[in-house]
Amino acid sequence: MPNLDTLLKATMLLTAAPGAKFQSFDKGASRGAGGSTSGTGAFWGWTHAAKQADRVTHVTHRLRETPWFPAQTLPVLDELVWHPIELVHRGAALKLELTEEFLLRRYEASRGSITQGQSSYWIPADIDRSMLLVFGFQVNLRAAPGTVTLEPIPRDVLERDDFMPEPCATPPAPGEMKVKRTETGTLQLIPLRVLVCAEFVCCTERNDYTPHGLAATSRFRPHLMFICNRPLERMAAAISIRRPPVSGMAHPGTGPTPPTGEPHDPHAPHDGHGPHDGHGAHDGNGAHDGHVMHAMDIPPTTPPAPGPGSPGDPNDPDLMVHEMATGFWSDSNVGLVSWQNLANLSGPPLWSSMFSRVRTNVPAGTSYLMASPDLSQDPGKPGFVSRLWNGREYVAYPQPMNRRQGYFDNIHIAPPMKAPQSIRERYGKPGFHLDSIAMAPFCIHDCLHMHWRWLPTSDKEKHLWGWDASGPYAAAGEPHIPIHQHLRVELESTHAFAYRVHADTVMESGTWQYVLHEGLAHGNSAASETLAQWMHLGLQMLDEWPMPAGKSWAMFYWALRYCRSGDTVRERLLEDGAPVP
Amino acid sequence: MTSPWFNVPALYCRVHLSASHRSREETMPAIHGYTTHDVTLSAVGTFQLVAAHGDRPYFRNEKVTLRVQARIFNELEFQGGGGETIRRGGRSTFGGVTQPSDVNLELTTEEKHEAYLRMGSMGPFTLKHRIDVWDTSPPKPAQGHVNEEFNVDAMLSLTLPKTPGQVRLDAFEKSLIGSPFSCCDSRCEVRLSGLLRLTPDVPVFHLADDTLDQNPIPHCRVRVLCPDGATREFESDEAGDIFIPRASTKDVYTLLEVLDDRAPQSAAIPGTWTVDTVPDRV
Repeated sequence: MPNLDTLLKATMLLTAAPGAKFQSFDKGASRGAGGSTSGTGAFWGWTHAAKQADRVTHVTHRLRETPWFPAQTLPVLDELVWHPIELVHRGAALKLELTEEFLLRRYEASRGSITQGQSSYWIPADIDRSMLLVFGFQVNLRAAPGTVTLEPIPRDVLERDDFMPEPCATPPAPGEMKVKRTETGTLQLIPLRVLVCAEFVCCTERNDYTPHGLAATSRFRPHLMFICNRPLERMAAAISIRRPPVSGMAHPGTGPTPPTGEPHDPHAPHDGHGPHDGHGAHDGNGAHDGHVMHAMDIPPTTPPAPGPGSPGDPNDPDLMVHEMATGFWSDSNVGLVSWQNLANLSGPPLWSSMFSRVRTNVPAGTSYLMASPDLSQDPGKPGFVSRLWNGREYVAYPQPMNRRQGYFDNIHIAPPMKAPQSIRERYGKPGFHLDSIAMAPFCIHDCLHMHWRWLPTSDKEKHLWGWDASGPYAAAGEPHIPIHQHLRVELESTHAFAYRVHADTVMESGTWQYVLHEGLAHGNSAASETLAQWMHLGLQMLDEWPMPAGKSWAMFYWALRYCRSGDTVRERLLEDGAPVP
Repeated sequence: MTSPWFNVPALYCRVHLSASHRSREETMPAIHGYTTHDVTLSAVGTFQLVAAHGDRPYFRNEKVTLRVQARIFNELEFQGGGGETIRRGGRSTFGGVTQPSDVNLELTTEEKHEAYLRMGSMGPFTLKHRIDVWDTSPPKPAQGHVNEEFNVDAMLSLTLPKTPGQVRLDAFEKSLIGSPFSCCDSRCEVRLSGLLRLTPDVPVFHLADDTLDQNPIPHCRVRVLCPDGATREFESDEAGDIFIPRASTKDVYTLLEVLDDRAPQSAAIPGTWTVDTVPDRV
């Protein structure tokens, strides 16, 4: 039966860095340097304080230089919060708050690797500055009758070899319990115990976050793992991921650092972009409503040799909106050919071919069920209808659905782009949507990506496969969350969201449960920057626009989403919920 | 002055001593020597103290045993003459019941009702165990095992209530003199719990959690098969004890189950079962 050290080998940090040191927080242990840790690794920086053990703040990521922007360090998150885990055992509810009282250990490591085949739970990665927090909870059996209170697991229990049972194991019965006249019989009761691991594992850049390795991103994995010595009837957990309200991205020649060059106070109130405040309101065509945004210039860039030429007009540059915006997308389950064409430069990644459902500039308060065992169990069965523009009208297209697939597959939080000024002045008409251009299907400008499902990919890309009963990376096109979990994503603001899961089926004792196993990523660049530049220049759909459009990345993204005929602009894939024109 | 404690014929006593600590200190700076000391251990005694008053109230029992569970690790790590790191240490995990020894309680000052509780005054409670040892010194690193004796003895001062009644021992943890465990020194933290209580008998059952401190579980309901063949429910008191009058030497009680239909016992399952013999009044 596993003891604590054996159990922790299942974590991502200790898989990548088995010799990582830890600071002990159990009773009687030396607290060391006050329980706070702050600093920057080669790429990632963050702060954690034991007194606020349930959160990581001031998360930054150092981007390398690309043809489109200089090397720089960006605020990625104001904070990430692990909310209390709620469990039910035999009808009794337990609320596990990740506070200093229950914190046992904090591991840290700044380097380590996971190689192919090393773990069935963790794909290959090289880690940068990372952390593992270990919390221990047990039911206080001395509490008043009818009440459930929790206390930290004592050190001596953690050291036992039978600290947790083997998966699904039934504990041995104590046998016959008899006492005679001169005897006292003592029966020890074993309380329900839960071990919780909160990891914040930051990874270096890889190209395994999209099909065909087209994007270079740095993953970070802020997941929860917990294991209980009793079967559980229900669990619920939530993690809040909060970006700064405005982007700190700097581009060549933009002058002073944009407003978020310094970390935003994570405890400042989130902006008041309420569900219906207009900023994020739906305009009927799924685009932004023309709310005035601050913008920063994106001057021309220097292509790497042997590059195809400089995108962007130095006198009429692209612009970026400072404020973050959030969008949801669903992959087309038959879109793999489009990804392949994208890699071969044989077809532009139009939204109508890449996606099945989309919603941009999503307002705060919006919430969707993103994956659930209650949803379709029949792959290929039509789930919802997309409306695609065929040049004359919108055509209804029934989308095949995969098992457990929910409303959307991913969320992206990034500052939108704006078309060059000359184009906006000439075409700045309602319905042209040139002031807020979402970057998809790939984006490198300070974009936080999270995909809880990818379209079905080949078995050469199992790292994009979802869970089945045996674990992760096992089922093409299925959600990347355990099969018994229901996932709901809820926007807390226009730049923050809560990832909420719950499960109502029995979870066996001695078995790790995972929350947000799929992790997130921060965009760096295109995996092949030359390919990206060729792709951009080869977009003939911009030929009918004035000259700056052909050099504009904003217009490139615009053309992937929209098509124009004279003064009429249509979405290639009608945004979810928009009326059919 | 005549203490009312003279009128007490016997006391029921449960003593629980435990330690769980780890330290690493530079003990030999000249050779960069660090000593690691890591222990998790407990010793529990359940017994009666019977009056043997002299000119002061005095209670004793010379046949007490302690139930011990221990995990001990000690190691010295230092730099050898060639700059290499050398480790010498030992590790032992063991448990069992000690050889019997004595426990006595003596009221020393009647005005303040101060008393001493001595465990092992005639000789420590002992338990043999095996230690796995190692020494990495070149040129011939060695490992093996040695047999040793683990000892427990303790003395603490406490204040008894003016009117005889229950005494919680944890209130007097600070008055423990030295370390009761042979593997620790006076700097090591040791926890004390348990109680002295005036009861006509010893408990039939005791309910505790499975931690090193073996915290008593109050209000725990159990179903018991009694000597008359009937099944009855009982509930543990604040000290986790269940007292049932036992008249005959042939009386046998069987704990059938812990009733787990309400919190917090609904979140518990039965673990280790142990039986301690509590000799009749001497």
